[in-house]
Amino acid sequence: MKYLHLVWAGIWRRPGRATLTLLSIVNAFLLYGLLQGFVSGLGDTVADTHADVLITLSRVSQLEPLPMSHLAQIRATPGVKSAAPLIIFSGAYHTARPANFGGFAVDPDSFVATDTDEAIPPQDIVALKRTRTGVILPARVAAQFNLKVGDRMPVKSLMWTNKDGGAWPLDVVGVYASNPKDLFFGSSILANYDYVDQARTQSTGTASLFVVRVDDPAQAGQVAQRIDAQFANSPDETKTESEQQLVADQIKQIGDIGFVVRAIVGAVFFALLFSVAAVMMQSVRERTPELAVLKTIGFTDTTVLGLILAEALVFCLVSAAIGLGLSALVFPLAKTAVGFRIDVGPVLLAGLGLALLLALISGLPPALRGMRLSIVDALAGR
Amino acid sequence: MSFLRQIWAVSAMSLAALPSRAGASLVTVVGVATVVGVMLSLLGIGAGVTGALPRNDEPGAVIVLATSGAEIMGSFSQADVAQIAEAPGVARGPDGKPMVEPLAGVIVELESKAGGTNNILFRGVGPAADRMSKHPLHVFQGRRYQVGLHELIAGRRAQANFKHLDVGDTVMLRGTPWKVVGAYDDKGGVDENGIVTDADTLLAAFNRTTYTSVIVKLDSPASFRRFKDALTSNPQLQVQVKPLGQYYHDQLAALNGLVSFVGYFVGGVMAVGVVFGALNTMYSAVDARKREIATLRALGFGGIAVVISVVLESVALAIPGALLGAAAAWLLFNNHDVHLGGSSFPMAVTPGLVVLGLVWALMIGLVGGLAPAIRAARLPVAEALRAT
Repeated sequence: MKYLHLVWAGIWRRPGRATLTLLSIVNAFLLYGLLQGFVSGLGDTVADTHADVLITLSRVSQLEPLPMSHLAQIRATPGVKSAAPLIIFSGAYHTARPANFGGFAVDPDSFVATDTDEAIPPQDIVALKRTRTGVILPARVAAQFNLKVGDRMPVKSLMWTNKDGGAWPLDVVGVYASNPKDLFFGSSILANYDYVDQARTQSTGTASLFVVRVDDPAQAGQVAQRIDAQFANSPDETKTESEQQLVADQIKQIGDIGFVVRAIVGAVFFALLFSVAAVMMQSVRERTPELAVLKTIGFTDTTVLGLILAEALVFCLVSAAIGLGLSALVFPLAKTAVGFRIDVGPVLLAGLGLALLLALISGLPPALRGMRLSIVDALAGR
Repeated sequence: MSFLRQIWAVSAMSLAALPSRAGASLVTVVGVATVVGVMLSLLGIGAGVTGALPRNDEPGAVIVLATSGAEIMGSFSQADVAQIAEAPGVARGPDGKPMVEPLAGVIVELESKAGGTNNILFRGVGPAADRMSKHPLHVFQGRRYQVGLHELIAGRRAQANFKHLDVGDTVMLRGTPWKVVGAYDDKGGVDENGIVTDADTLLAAFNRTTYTSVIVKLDSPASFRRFKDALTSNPQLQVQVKPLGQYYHDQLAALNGLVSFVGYFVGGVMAVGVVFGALNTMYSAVDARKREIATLRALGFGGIAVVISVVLESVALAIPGALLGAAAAWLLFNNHDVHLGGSSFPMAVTPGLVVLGLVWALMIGLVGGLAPAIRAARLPVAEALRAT
């Protein structure tokens, strides 16, 4: 600790060069924080989902509808607490600049009984039941389009065409607090199943999926198998998975994001390592006479080694902390953009570990050189 | 003329001194190589996506879709198809029949070779498909499906990505066994990611009565406006109409836009970092040559010549870096399959991208060299000559 000022002075011996190097490290860690934060955000999304909520989809594909006759059979399956039919009703609001949002048409009573995550006010559910064309908005969507209860909201569905043509004229009957943890329903608009099902041009009498809550989360796997067994070898075979499994699969469908991010981060740090190592080496070479003087007045070889390593460590850790701090500042923005929560803690810790590694690898060769300096040769400029 | 000679002399001197600063110079080369390598790899995904446009589109081919714009979500009854066939501008075949082709598309899940299941487009086409297109899907192995039988042909890329799609295999779809009787290619187009059978057979097997989109051949591309207006103003149809090429292009453009954004964003942020490194390299280069530069200035060489020589040196380091990065991206990833949203595309590190990488490197070299160059030109001659 008593050498800290010496280390600090060594770092800022060449202020211009130190600043540029600092900026390039900050830059690399900013990029690392952003990319890695995004990947870990995807992972957290999976971890946040329920293991005791099952989703029953068509085995043909996730877009293939299932007949409503399945609902009674699913509800009668041993171990099932409740089940709700849903129609995927993602759409866009008709404005000058349309923006897409997720949505479902739900049967209000069974939906509330099955999905307990949402803080949907009970009076909104009552209002939804009363208003055939009603819609409950998550706060985020309401704010985005500046909508409030009582407003008319023409929605263009991405999938379903209204028999009456054009957009779906929905009436806002409620606004609920978005739940960023719930990828499925946390930020979706909720319309009436009956209205959407009967007014669409095709697939009437079907559901896109059934949400199932089980009595005992530990039995979820068996219940899922039991549900699928009932419909085996029928034209409408089902595939029942936990919400968690489904989210994990969907992320996998996008592509191997983890690999791409690791490759980019790897390349960035490869270049950074070169750059920092060159700067450290140059700095030590320039300071050869000074190091010799230090040794002359009694600094041991190990102390010199420690000094140079400490310089690399302090420099890399400070720069990395700035870069990671900047990325942590950007995360809240990213969260609204991608719509899921990002837990930054582990990413930042791993980043500091990376900085430590960077410092050791780039600092060790110059530190060894400093340690092996012979006083006479160094002072003689050999 | 003498100005050019000055530049030449100073530049030649600084370039000749490059090997003596190999370590520091390598930093710029490696830095630029990684930026260009990473950026071209990411943009190569986008180029692969756009390179996969279906090859069977041609002027005058038009697709009629549901208002939602999704090929698989439309709902067209036989009566709707008949109405579309009577719209103005529809071409007639040699047999006098309107060239209208209803399609049936469903998304099905098949076992992926990579493990688990993945979505694939199962498209049903009518008997007129071959008449309609100058470049029908080319069956390179086996034969075409027979209408009425549960037979299908599989795209070349679909075969590469999914199990049970080799000719002779049987796949279970919605409780029915389908026999794979042939394999087709589309000159690398995105349609190679699908499986194809007869439209009516598909509808019957999936318990549907309506087609999902309709392809129409117009008598001339100029008839598009007339045809579109007739359909969109028909209250019995809720449709949108797009030229077929445009439709495919729009679909891939969104994907390409996303990938390109990531490519330019990452490439941009990395470039900023490398500029800092390049600045460092060039500042030390100028430092190391203080006395030489001062000597030249004392001999009467102009400041501009010195500036240009330093910038040239910086660019001379960046360009090989760019070539190295482009070569790495090309060797590692050209024609490498990437999987995006259920389809796979061969990545393409195109000559255009390599030029873009060179431009990027040029910018890095210029920005990284300019400030040190100006410092070099402003060195007080007397002081620099005295420097040790």
